[in-house]
Amino acid sequence: MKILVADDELRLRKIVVMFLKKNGHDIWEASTGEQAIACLEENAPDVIIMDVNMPGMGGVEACRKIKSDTKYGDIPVILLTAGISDEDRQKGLSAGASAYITKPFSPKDLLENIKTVVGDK
Amino acid sequence: MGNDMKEDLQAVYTYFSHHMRNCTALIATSVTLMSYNEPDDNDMLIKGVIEASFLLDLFDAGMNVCITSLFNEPPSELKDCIELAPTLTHFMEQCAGIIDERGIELDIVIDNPGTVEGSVHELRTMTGMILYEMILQAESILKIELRGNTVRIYSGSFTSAPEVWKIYKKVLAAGNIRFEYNEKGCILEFGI
Repeated sequence: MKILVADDELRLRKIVVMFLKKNGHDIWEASTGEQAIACLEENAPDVIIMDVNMPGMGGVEACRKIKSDTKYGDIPVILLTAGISDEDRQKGLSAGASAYITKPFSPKDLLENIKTVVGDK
Repeated sequence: MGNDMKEDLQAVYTYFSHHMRNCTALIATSVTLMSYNEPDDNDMLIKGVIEASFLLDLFDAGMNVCITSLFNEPPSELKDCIELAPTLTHFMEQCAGIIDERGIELDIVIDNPGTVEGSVHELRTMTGMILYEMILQAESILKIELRGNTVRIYSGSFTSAPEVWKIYKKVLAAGNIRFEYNEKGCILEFGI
């Protein structure tokens, strides 16, 4: 599966990427919402995993832009966040996210969520 | 509770929760990944877990210092003489992994470093949290100058001070430390 991972926390992103690669996925990386959207111009991921809290354009805004774009709107977005409130979750899901995972997360849960939103590719 | 207090507590919660959850996420993911690796391949992950654990401790202490200050509790009476140079260098050694991973070149100048009197817990915690934020926002180079009792920290890529720094400023002022920051970086002047 091809996955775009966007998170400004470099170390956490690297570990998540390492984990996903070990599970046989191809990965693109971004550290801001803008970079994630720019990445979509040249690549076609099956799913986007995006942190909510990034400098510049955050994950919720980037998710909203992606989901409203006719070219990319079908790509499922999984939001990763440190926010735990129902309001945070609602904001993410209202922006069109397919799933909302709270940090700290189990990497196995992340894989399960990817399978759920994309299906077996 | 007044609105100002609510806003300050919200800023403290948002900042510390974000960092602590990133640390716990890193630990949980690293430990899971270790089970996929050969034992020899886990050095980097183990270093990351140790660093994240150190940072969790720092942020827990930092949250305590900030909340104590917001509740107008008096600053700690336990004063000690603190050497500024080892305080800075020790923290940077603890964060060597993240500095290395981010490809940050450190430029540290220590000139006639001072010794100040204060609460070791508060001073080390606050200085560490400020340094960590500067590390996170640095992209290529981070300059740290300690001259006498003044520390200047700056990088070309420091874009925005977190909201919680307004509270740091009050906490530090109560401990006789001047803390100023702008779009280039920050200054800590101890023993004012």
